[in-house]
Amino acid sequence: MNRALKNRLLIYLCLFIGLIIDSYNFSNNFQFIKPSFVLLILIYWNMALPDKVGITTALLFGVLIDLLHSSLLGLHGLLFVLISYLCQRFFYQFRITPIWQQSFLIFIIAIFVKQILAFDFLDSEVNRTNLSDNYYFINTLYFAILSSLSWAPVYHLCRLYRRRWIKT
Amino acid sequence: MLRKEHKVSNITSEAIFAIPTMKPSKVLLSLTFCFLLILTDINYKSSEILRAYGKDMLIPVIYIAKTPVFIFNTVIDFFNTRQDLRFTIKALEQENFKLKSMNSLMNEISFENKRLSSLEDSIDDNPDNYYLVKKKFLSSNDLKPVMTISVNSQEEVFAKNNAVLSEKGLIGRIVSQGLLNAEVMLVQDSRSLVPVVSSTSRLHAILQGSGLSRLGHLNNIKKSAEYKIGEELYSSGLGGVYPSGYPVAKIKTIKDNTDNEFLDIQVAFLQSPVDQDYFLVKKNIQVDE
Repeated sequence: MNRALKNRLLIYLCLFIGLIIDSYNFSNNFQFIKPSFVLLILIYWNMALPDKVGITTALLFGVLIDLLHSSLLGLHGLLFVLISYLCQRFFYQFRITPIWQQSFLIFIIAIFVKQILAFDFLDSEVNRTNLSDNYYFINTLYFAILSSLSWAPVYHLCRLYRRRWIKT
Repeated sequence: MLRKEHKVSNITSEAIFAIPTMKPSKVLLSLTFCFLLILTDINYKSSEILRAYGKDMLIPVIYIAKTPVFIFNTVIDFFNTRQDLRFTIKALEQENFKLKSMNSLMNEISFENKRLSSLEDSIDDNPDNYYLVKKKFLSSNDLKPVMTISVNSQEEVFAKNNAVLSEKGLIGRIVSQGLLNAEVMLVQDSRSLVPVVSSTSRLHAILQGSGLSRLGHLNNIKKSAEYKIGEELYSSGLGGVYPSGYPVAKIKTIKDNTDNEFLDIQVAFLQSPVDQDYFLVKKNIQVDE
């Protein structure tokens, strides 16, 4: 098999594993604060091998997440493309920062993602454009903290996977 | 090394490592595509048609996600020692003893039950109109929670707008149906509007959700309305989407704010789908007729 194609398939496999983890259903409120592993893995590959992941990957997995979480079709796609672009635009700076600083950036990205998802696109509440309340904001903080804490293990596991399997 | 990964300096012939990032024009194009998808979904509800079929394709992913837990439980069961089993038998014997003593009490209750079942038989409702379903997935956005249930598309019960019930009352309605899955918009969803009638004051209202684990509210209630705290709200069946007579929520607080022309009535929903796995789907007879 062509090396470039094999690498691409291996990256897709990694993202697919993230999708499997994301699709696990927790029977308590942890369901609403669990980190999005597809997003974390996508950020990693955008940072590690920006020439091998692109708009198509971000769009595809965004739409799959939309289907899985029943959100507006295209919303996660939009977020993933935007985050991928920002990661690729600043990946030189992002890659050399220490892991705790990267975790902090993940924290900010996670808050941004969760707040965008609270937008009232369907105009279900007349007086509000964002459905977020105190409870949702606390959930957003938990989500961001868990995402930033998950970043270090995800980063190291993906790096191990890249060094073991992906030959450039 | 791939051709794209470096350039060669014309002066020193050294490799310049500069990986080209995404082209802004392509990013803009894809963002426009996403916006179009979102607008189509908002205006034409395109995802209601596509989503359940898309989820049919994602079933293997959901099953794969459940596999490690299943294997873990099976292994734990397998390695249960004989000692553990003895403890279990002892506990079960004690449980059995307790149950025997309770049995005498149950005889009396069974008599009451017989009376109740005869009452139930008198209700003109066909059991074939109900179907037991299992929860498959609950979306992680608690403001707009959507539950996925497993369905059999050949069954007549599964159609858009059919009500989903739990033992405590109304849970939601089917909004999208695929071959093996259906999506349920929960009554707690901020997009959900349920016509309700109160149990004692018999006043009609529209109940809107605000998200899971949150209080819902009654829309546009005049200040002269005489609702009471603790009053139960039942689906009124107006509009023909939800069946009538199912409990939905209970009034929690009533506030009369001077700066608002309506009463601020908050309600607590009777059932959350988070800790429940099985539900009933009821065929919507009113719509069929």
